[in-house]
Amino acid sequence: MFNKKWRQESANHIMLLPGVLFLFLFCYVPMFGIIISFQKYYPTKGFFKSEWVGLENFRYIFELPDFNRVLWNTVFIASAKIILLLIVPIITALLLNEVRNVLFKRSVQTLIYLPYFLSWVILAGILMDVLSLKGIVNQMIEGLGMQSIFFLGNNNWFPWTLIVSDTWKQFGFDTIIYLAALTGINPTLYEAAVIDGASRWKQTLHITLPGMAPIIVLMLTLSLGNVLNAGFDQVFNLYSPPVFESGDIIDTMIYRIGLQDYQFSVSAALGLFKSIISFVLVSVSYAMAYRFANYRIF
Amino acid sequence: MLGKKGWTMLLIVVLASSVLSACSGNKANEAKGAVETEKSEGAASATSSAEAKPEGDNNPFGKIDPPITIKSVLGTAGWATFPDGETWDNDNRWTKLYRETLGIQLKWNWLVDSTQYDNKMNVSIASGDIPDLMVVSKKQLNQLVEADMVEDLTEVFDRYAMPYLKMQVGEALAPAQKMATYDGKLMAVPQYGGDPRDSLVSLYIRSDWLKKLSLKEPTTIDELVNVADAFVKQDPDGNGKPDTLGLGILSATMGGGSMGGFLNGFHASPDIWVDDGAGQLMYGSTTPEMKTALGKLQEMYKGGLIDREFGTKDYNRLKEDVVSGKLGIFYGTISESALIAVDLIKNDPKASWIAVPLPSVDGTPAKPSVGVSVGGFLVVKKGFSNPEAVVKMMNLFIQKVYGEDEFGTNGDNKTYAWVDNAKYAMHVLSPVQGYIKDYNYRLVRDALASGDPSKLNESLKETYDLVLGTDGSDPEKWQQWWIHQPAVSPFEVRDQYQLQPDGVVIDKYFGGSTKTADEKMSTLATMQNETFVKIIMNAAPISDFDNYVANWKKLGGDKITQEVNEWYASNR
Amino acid sequence: MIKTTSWSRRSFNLVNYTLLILLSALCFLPIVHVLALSLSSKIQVTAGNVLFWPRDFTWASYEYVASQGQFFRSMGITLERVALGTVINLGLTLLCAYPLSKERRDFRFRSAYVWYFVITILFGGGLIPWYLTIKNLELLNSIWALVLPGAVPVFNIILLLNFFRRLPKEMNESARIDGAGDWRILFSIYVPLSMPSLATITLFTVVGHWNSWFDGLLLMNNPDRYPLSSYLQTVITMPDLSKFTDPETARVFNRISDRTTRAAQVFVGMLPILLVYPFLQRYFIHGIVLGSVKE
Repeated sequence: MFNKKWRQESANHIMLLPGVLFLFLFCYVPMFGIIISFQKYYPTKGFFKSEWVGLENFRYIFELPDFNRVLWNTVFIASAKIILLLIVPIITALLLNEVRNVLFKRSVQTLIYLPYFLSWVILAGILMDVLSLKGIVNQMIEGLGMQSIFFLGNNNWFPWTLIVSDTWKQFGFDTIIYLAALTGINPTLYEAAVIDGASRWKQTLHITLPGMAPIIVLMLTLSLGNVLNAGFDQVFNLYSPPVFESGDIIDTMIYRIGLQDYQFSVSAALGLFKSIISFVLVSVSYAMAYRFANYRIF
Repeated sequence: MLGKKGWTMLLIVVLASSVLSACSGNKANEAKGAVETEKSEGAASATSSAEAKPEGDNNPFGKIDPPITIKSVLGTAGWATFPDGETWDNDNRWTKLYRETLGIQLKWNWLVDSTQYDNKMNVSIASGDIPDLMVVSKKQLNQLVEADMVEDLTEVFDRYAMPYLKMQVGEALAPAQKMATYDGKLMAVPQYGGDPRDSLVSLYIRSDWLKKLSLKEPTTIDELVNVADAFVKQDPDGNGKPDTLGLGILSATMGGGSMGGFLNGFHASPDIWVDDGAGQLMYGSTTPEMKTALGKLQEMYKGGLIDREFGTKDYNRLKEDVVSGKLGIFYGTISESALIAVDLIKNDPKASWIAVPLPSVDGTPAKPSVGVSVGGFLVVKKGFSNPEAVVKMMNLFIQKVYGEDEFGTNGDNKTYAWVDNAKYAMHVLSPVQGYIKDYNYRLVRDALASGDPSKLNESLKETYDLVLGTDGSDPEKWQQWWIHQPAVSPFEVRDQYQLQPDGVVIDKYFGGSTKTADEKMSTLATMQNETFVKIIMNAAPISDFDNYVANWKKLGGDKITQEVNEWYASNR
Repeated sequence: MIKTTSWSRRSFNLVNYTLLILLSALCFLPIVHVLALSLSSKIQVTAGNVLFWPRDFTWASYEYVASQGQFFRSMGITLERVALGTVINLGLTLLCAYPLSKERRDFRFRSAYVWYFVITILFGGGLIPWYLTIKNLELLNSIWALVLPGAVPVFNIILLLNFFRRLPKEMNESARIDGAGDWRILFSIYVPLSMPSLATITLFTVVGHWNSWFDGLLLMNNPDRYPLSSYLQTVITMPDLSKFTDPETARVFNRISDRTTRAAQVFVGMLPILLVYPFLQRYFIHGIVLGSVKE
C-alpha cells in the first residue's frame, strides 16, 4: 500500500523536481542574505565578519520620527489600491463579457492593457501636465463651475491621485486574468439558466461571479502580500514637499535615508519586516478560507 | 559614476570652448593625437622645469617600463556615442593614449551602465573581487579605507602629480583633496569637481521684458519684488492674457532654479556649515536670516508673485515655464545659459536675457553660498605594483582636457573630450577622470576685449572666432555669443564674485558624513524641505520655522553640530 | 440566443458600450499623447505645446534610439531571451502547476510543496546575495543569467493551478481508467483545455521578459550584452531629471535625453504586446467554443 501510493505519486515529484531545484538555487540560497538585517553589514567585511547588532536596525526604522505617519500612509494607499484593483477589473471583465461583438471586445481588451506599459517616469510627466491647476482636468472642473483642485499639492487629494492613477495603470492587466477565468465557466450552466428564464443579471450573480470566485479570492490573497508596498516608483515620481505629509511611504523614506554607510542592513531589515507582515496576512487568509469555506486558495 | 560635479565641470569647459566647427575627420584626429602626445611629453618637462626639474622617474608623464596591465572597471553612459571604430571596450583613443604615453595597458573587469555603477561596485566589493584601479563613492571609500583594502597614495601624488594639478590642489581643489585624506594620508585621488565656487547662482532676468516695462535691473530685494510684480501684472509678453509668472523658484534650497539665491539675498546660507563668528560652525538653514527670507517668500506667494503650484514643480516644469515664455526671472548657475535660455531663444528669437548679481535685502552685498561635493574617488587596490599609474593617468587626463596651465597649453579637448562639435563625448572612455578649475571664460573675454587672440590655444581661438562672427541672431550660436558678453553674462557675474577674496560663502565642512548625520540628516533635510515649502505656500505660519529649528536641534542637529565642530577643530 | 433582444437588454448594451468606449479612450488618449510627444521636436515638447498631434514632426527620437548598432544587437538578445525564457517558464509552470492542482488525497505532499513555492514570493535575500549566487554559478554575462534565475514564475504557477482545478474532474478520472498516466493527462487533456489561461500566462511571460531591464544591467559585464529594455533604459531613463538633487547634472543630460526620446522608448517597449496580443486573443474565445462543443 505504502509503496503503491509512492509509485502513484512519483510522477508528481518528478514534475516538481526542476522547479524545486531552481527555486532552491535562486531563491532559497540567496535568502541567507536575510542575516544582514541583524548586522551592521559592510560589503568590505562580508556576511560573516560584519558586526552583529541584534534588532538595532529594526529599532532604527521604528524610531524614525516620521515612522507612524509613513506607515499609515503606506497602509492606507496600499489598501485602497488593493480594493480598487479588485473591483475595477472584475467589473470591467463582467462588462466585457456581455459584449457580443468580438472585434470590439478585443479592441477594448487591448486598449485598456496599454497603460500597463507606461513607466511611472513618463506617466508622472503626463499627470503633472494633466492634473496641474491649468491642466485639462481642472479646466473641465472649472467649466462645470467648481473650484479647481490641486491634485498633486493638496494633502486631501494627493493619496487619491496616487490610488486612482495606479488603478488606471494596472487594471487592464488584472482584467485579463478575470477574462481568462470567465472562459472556464461551464457554458451549460448558462444554457440551463436561460431555460429557467433567469435574466442576464441573475446569471451574472449566480453563475458568473461564483464561477470567478476562486480566482478572485486568490488574487485578493496574493495582493494582501502587498499591503506594505504602496508603489515606490509611482510615489517617488509624483510626490513633492507639500504632500510629504500624505504621500510619503516607507519605501520612499528609506530611499531618502540612503544611509551613508550601512544602508544594506537597514533596507534588509525593512524588507524582512514587510515580508513577515505579508507572510502573516497571506497565511491568515489562507487558513480562514480553508476553515470557513473549506477551500484551499493555492 | 562620472560624478555630478564632474559633469558640470566638463560642461563648463565645453561652454567656454566648444564651437561649431566642421568635423576634422577621425583619422586626422587620431594622427593629431599621436603627435600631440609626443609634443606634450617634451612640453611637460619644459613647463615643469620652471620648478624643480623632475628627474627621470619623477616625470609626471613618464612611461612605465616595462609596460604594465591594469585591471579596471568603467561606468558607461547610454547616451554617449563615439565615432565609428571606437567603443567602450575596444582599443579606443584613450586606451591607446594610456598605452602609448604611459605604458599602461587597460583591461576591463566589467563595464556597467552608470546608473548601476554603485550597485555593481558594491557587489564586486562584496564578492571580494575588486580591480586594480576603480572609482568609488565617498561611502565606499570610507569602508575600503577602514578595511585597509586600498593603497596610500600620499607619496606617489607628491612625486608624480604635475605642477598645474598641485597648484590647483593648493587652492580651488583643496576641499576635494581633503575629502580623500584620512589621518593625513591621501587614500584616493578625487575626481575633484572644480572650484566649489563655480556652482554659485546669479539672477537671470528677461531683459526685453524689463525694457518693455521700463524697469531697471534689481539690486535690492524690494526692487526684485517690484520686477516680479510687474512681470505678473503688467503683461510683459504683450499677449493680453495674465499668463506670466513672477519669481521662479523650486522647493530646493541650493543649485540652479532653486530658492537659494533669494535666501542668499537675506544673508542666509542654506544647507551648508558656516562660521558663526566665534570660530564655531553652525548650520546655515537654521539662522534667523532664513526665517526673514521665508517670511518674504510667503508674502510674495500670497501676493501671487510666486507660482501657486510652486512646491510641486520640478526642474523640468520650471524649464517649461521659461521656454514657453511665461517665466522671466529666476536664479541660475552658469549652466542655465545652455539649457534654459537657449531653448527659449530658439522658440522666441526676440527674447533676451541678462544675468545680474544677487539682489540684497539691505546695503550689504549678498554673497552666494556653495557646497563642496566630489563625484567620485579613484583608488588603487592594496598591493598593486604601480600605484603611481593613477596619478600619471590623472595628469594625462587633465593635460588633454584642460592643458598644463591656465592658458590650456597642450590641451586637446577637441580630440579627447568633445569631438566633432561635442557630438561625441570621448572623455567618458577614460577610467580616470578629473575635473579642475578652468580659466577659459576669462581668457576669451580678455582676448575679445583687446582684440588680440594670440594667447589663446587652438580651441579657445575657435570660440573667439565664433563669438566675433555672430551678433547673437543665430540661435545655434546664441549661447556662445551671449555668455561672452560681459554686460549680460552669468560667467561675468560669477567671475566678479570669484575675484573678491571673500565674495562667496563656501561650506566649511567637507569631512563627509558624521556618524549622527549619517543616521539623521535625511530626516532633518526632509523636515526642513517640508517646513520651508509649507511656510512659503502659506500652509503653515512663519512661526513654524521656530518649531523646525527646535526639532532640528532635538532630533540630532545638536549632536551633528558638535561632531562637525570636532572635525573643524582638527581640520581647519 | 433564444430570446429576442429586449428593450432593457438594448439599453444595457448602449450603456455598456458607452462605458467601455470611455474607459478605452481614457486608457488610449494618454498613449496618443505619448506618441505625439515622441514625434515632436524637443522645443515644442518643452514649451508644452504638444497634445494629441505631433508639432514640428520629426523621427529624431526614434532615430536616436535606434541609431546605434547596439539597438539591433540588443534586440537580438531580447528575442533570444523571450524565446528561451518563455519556453522555460511555460514548461516549468505546467510541470509545477499540474501536481500542485491535485487534491491532497491524490498527492499527499502538495501543501508542503505549495508553501515551499509561496515562501519565495514573500521572502527574498536582497541584491548582494542574489548577485553572488548567480556569480558563483558562473552565469554572469551569459543569456542564462537572464533566464534561469526567474525560471520558476510562482505567481503564474499559482494562477494556473487554480485554473487547472476548475477543469471537470470526470475527464481526469475517465482518462485514468483508460490507463493514462500523469504525463499524458497533463499534456493531452489539461493543456488543450486550458488554452485561455495558458494564453494569459504566455502573455505575461513574454511581456515580463521583454520589459525587465534591471537584471540585464547588473548581470551583464558589458553594455554589448544588454537586452533591449536595459539598453533603452541606459539611453533614455538613465537620468531621472526631476529627482536630481543637483540640477546642474540634469542640465547636462537634458541636452541629450528628453521627454521625446523617453516617449519613443515607450513605443518600442509596447511593440511585443501590439504584435503578440491579437494573436493570443484568439485563444480567449477559443476556450469557450471548445468547452461548449464538448458538452
